[in-house]
Amino acid sequence: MADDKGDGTRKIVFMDACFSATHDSVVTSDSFLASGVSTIHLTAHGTASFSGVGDLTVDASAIVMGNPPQEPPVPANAGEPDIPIDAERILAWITKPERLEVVLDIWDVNYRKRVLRDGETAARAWLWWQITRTLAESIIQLSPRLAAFIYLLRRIISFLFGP
Amino acid sequence: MALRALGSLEFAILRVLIDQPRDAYGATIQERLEAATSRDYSAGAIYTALERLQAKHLIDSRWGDPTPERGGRRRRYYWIEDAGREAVRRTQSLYEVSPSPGLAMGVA
Repeated sequence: MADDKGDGTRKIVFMDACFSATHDSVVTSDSFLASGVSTIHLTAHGTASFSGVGDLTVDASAIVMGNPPQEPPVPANAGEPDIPIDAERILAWITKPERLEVVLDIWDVNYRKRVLRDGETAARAWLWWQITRTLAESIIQLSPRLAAFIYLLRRIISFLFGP
Repeated sequence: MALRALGSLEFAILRVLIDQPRDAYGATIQERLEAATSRDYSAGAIYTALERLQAKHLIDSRWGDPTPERGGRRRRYYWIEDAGREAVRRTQSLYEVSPSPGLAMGVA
């Protein structure tokens, strides 16, 4: 039996549930998950409030009493870009440590944003593109003649086709 | 005062730093640059421009403390100096004469 409490939550009474509950227990069940309800917080013996839409059919035998399942602890470096160690080593070899530190920080912040916005695959593709660009720029900077040639070429292209 | 070239990226970075006078770092600068210019600047290009601006004493920077969240890496914070504001003001007036960013000259 379920009735609307009028505050966005619904109250359910397990009339035929073959379980007992104590005050402030938490029950979980796969049938709740299927209904879009992850947990039900019991407010008193045999009654519970839950948030969800539509009717909820509960298989009492599937109810698990006790604490809700704990999420595994999130490591401090979660979402941190897994910058390929080889690329980092090459960058470290051809760039100054200060430059590397600033560049890695920029990648780090951007990677986290892009994982949330575009997904991990797109973020990883972006990161590889950045690594490739930075490697190319660093190599160009190592060779003044090549850098001068690229600079002139870019100026000519900019002059011909606009900035 | 000596005349020194101020590239379009340097000019754009100074404009960003005027809007965010404190606690600007590489990623925020890159984000604001892309929002303002709709161009994709690489981290290396931004760092190089920041180095040049600092060598011209138009900006200054300090290292933050390393944190575990960034794998023990430090973050470098940048801010604009008075000379940088002056360079922006003068470059802006030259942009009005010559709209080509590549021809812009600043006074540092």
